[in-house]
Amino acid sequence: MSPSVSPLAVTDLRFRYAKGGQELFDGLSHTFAPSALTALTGPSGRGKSTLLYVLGLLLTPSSGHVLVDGVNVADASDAERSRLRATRVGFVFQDSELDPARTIVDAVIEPGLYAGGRVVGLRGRAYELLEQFGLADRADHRPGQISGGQAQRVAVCRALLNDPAIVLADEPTGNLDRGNAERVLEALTSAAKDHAKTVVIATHDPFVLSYCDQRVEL
Amino acid sequence: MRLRALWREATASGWAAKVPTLLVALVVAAMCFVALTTVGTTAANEAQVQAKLEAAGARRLSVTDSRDQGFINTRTLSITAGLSSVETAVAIGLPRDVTNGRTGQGGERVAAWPVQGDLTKVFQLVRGRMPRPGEAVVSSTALRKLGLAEPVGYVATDSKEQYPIVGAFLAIAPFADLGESIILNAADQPQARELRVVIATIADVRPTQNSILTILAPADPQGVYIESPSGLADTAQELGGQLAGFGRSLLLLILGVGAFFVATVVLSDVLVRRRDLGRRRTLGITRSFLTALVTIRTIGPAATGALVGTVTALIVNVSTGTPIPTDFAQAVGVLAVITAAAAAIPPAWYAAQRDPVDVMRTP
Repeated sequence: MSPSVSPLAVTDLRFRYAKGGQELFDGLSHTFAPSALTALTGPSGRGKSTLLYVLGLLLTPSSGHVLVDGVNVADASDAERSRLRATRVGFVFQDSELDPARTIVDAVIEPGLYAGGRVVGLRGRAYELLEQFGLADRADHRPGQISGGQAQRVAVCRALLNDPAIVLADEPTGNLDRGNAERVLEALTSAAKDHAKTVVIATHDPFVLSYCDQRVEL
Repeated sequence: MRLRALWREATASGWAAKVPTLLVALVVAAMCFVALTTVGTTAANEAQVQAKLEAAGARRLSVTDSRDQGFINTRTLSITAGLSSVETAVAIGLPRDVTNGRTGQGGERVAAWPVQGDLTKVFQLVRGRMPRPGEAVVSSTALRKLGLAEPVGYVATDSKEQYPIVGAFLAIAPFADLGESIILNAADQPQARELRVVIATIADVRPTQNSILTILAPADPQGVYIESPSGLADTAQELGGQLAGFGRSLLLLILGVGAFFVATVVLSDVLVRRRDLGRRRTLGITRSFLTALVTIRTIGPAATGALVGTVTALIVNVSTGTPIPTDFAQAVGVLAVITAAAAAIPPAWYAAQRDPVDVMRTP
């Protein structure tokens, strides 16, 4: 990747769920800045989460381009999209979505397995991240044994495991109280600033918006 | 994704979902148990019937030269014995009455059968040595009748022909009819009365019989008496075919019903755990690996179920006196696991095709 190429950009983007359905994004073009938090915001129904999933290569736009590292991947095969999701994109869901049957460290290494990593190496990386986000003592706990805020920070660790260029978060603090929300947003800010990630957050929460460097209004 | 990691994930995932895992194991165990206690019993009966039909006595073909035409001779015996479908071929002459040579004509008379060919296929030597041409071996019954404590001395005919006794024997099927008499090595005699053949398998009876008659080529067919198991061979094939056909149909039915239940359990499981599978897709697992993950996590409990079902059925069948052939039991176990794995593929593929956004997005 050339230094001048952004990890994530869209051009002339349009999306429609079904024929005859409402068209979203109205030809959106935007380059998402590295080392910054960008908020996707706007009223309900304008497609904040949909845009996040288009950026995450889970939905295919009706027209326009999604550029990852400067390459249009809007029409890539499912296998190629899966590979990119595993290696270049990290996801943080509204509910942390940790496997309840696995330990925290095993939950964190999950995307690493899909990217072809070895368990031993991945665990080392997972412990580093958990340490960095103050969760090292929870590594061998189950998701049911930690708080919602801690679970969401574990989800941030999981999103960072493969050292992706892009981190996508869908209402990551939607289910948290203010204190826990602050910690999760600090974790995402750290991901952007300290780990040089392009962080994109779908939200309409003014508190979350206060942490963001850029906004894309839908 | 590495195969080892895939296997690890499948195992952990299967362990986490205990109810469907247990259900798959139970269904496969039931498949194996039912198959082995029904089809297995049929297979065991079939094997017993086949074993009886394949016994040496049942594969015996006898051609008798009732008018002494001389077509049973050293040459035809040698050619017949060389046929690939022939297990044993010997020529037997007319028996002659003999008595203990030391006691003379006053002793008890015993039948002595002149036999040509491989004598090791006719009897088992229990004492002494194998007879050379012109020598005799005696059965225990004959030994008693001759008044001998040991197989030594000689026997003689009324016409003063003498045969040294060199051993004692135990007749082997299908030569048990010679078991109470004396056998003379008749390799030096040019012709015999009966050609007795043991055919390798019951299925070879008819073509071998045709070949032997061609080799013997009797000048007068009226003087040929044939005792053949060809009717038995036909019955064996028909019976074997019927039993095998019935067993196959029943086995397919059992496997089909089992496959349906396994597919239903796996489908229910992927529907219940749609968020787990949607998360995996979002985090980057490919469709093919997700299909493999769901399929592999079915194979583990299926293998356990197959082991339990097979062992239980083997114990039950042994205790009821109808032991199942072990190779058949193993084959059913393996087939049940393969069936379960195949049944898991359609629901696994369906799970892999689902749109993860539908599952993962929060309203």
